[in-house]
Amino acid sequence: MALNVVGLGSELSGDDAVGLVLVERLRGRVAGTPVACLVWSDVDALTAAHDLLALEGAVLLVDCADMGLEPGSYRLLVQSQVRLQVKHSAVSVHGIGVAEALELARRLGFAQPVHLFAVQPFQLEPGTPLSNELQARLPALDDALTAAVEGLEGGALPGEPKRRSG
Amino acid sequence: MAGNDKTYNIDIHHVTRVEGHGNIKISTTEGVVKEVKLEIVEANRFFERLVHGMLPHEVPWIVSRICGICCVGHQVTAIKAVEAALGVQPSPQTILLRKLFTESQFIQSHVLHIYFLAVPDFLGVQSVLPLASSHPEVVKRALKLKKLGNDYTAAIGGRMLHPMTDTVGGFYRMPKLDVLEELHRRLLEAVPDVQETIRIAKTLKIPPYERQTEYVSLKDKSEYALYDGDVYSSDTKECVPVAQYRNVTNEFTVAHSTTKWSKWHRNSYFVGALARVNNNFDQLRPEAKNAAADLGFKAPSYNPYMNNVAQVIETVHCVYNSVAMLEQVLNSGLKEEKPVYTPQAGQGAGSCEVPRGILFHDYTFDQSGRCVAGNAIIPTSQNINNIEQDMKDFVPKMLPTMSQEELALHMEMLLRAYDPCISCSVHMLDVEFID
Repeated sequence: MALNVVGLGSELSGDDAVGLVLVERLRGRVAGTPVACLVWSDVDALTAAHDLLALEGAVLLVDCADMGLEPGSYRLLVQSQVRLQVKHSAVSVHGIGVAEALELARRLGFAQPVHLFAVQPFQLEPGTPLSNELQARLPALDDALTAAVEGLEGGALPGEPKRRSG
Repeated sequence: MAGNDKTYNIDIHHVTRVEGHGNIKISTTEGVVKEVKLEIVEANRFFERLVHGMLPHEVPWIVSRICGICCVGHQVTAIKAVEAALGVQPSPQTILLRKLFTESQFIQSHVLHIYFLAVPDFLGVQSVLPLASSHPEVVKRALKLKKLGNDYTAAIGGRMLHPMTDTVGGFYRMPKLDVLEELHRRLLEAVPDVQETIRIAKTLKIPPYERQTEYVSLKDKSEYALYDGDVYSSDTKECVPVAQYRNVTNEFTVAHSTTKWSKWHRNSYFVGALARVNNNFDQLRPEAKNAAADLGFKAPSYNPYMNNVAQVIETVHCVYNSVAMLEQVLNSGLKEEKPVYTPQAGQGAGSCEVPRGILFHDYTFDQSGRCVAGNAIIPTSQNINNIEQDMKDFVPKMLPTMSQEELALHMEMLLRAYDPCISCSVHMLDVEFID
């Protein structure tokens, strides 16, 4: 089954856009492969839960995350390494969190593996685009995301030749 | 206030499945109610100060950030207030688009509240998550309707959250007709889901507690008032102009709440779906009236728990009314209209109904067109006083037959029935220093 690479984030909150940008850039590199690139800009978690249910195959979420790492660092968290804390009290008028959305989708029958490619932001200032610092890291992050996709797909992508940064 | 020999101490520190922080405190000693309090402990937000120095068209974008779920309502209400201050008259096309915009927000907000926040109470589960296991089809339907509401808002406003296309005097960008056509198709497709929502609502056991209060909403001579109208009181059966809103809200402070309280002709009043349906029942669409009959709703209802049912009735109204309005737009088409205004000194108030009740905004601009004063009075802040009065009335009635846990649950359900957005309700206290 296809791997779905889903970019999450907001285009107007600084480095929160990194998931959207990376998946958009990945699109050309996976053309002709079973990998599907989806960009979910500014979606709320309930909509994400709804849209997850329509997917077949494993999911790799690409998002900005505060992991307490150096800004610009990334981590690939495969499903077996991740335990999301679900809080019933997190459901409010303003919607729900990512953990609750995933749990909701799970309980509604979404059984595929979900992995996370997370990038530590430099800044999340409202009304700003991706920071210059993170833009400078994009080629390295492209390589890391490509490697992550290849790892999850079990082989090299047939697209453009692999480019590895130092 | 006797209720046999029960001694209860209920202290719900932050009620869940509402937005923001509110505590419920109840103490009874040997069947006598000693204290019933709804404490609001949110910090002030200072939005009314944030808009100082801003230009007229900037104000609505900033104040839409007061709330993520009512962002459309805050934006449209602020636009109406700014237009009143500057003497701008929007075109009929703009008004029609704003009405669509408003109803999109009602669909997404009511669906969220009914399915994700209220229904778990009635089915005895902690949240929507267990419901997804036990009633997956119900939750899938809820997600589908919520997404429809979100996409509807984005179709008119450019995006679901804090839209950017609407402004003072009109729209920067017209919605695309093919997108509206698709929306029309999806709304029609949602009719069976709406009917199923009525069926589910019919099975909910609504607690049978009633207290007559004053119901306040907008009233419009020509239609069910959501976008426009005068301020109507069920007590006087009369309207006052929106410009006189301060005579309606009569805000005052109490020691246990950072939210200001309101009262009009009696010690508290009710705003929201129940107030609107009570006050304007005859103007609901026939499909919504049929839903009300099906749900056993008779206006006026004095049962605050019926606010959930009133939200279902309004969802039906908005779906059918949106279909009709979209047909009007699709038949006539949309023409480009450049939004324009002249910055000048002035003061104006605007009001819309938002899902949680009547909302007021008021702005003053100086000669250069810069904002020098702002005021926003949110539905939840108007309702908090009424919720506490309900609690004070219901606790003695519930005490004889309920355990402490049952009483606590019914109080939480009561608060949630009002669909409060507590953090939005907190606005700045006016402080005057006297030398």
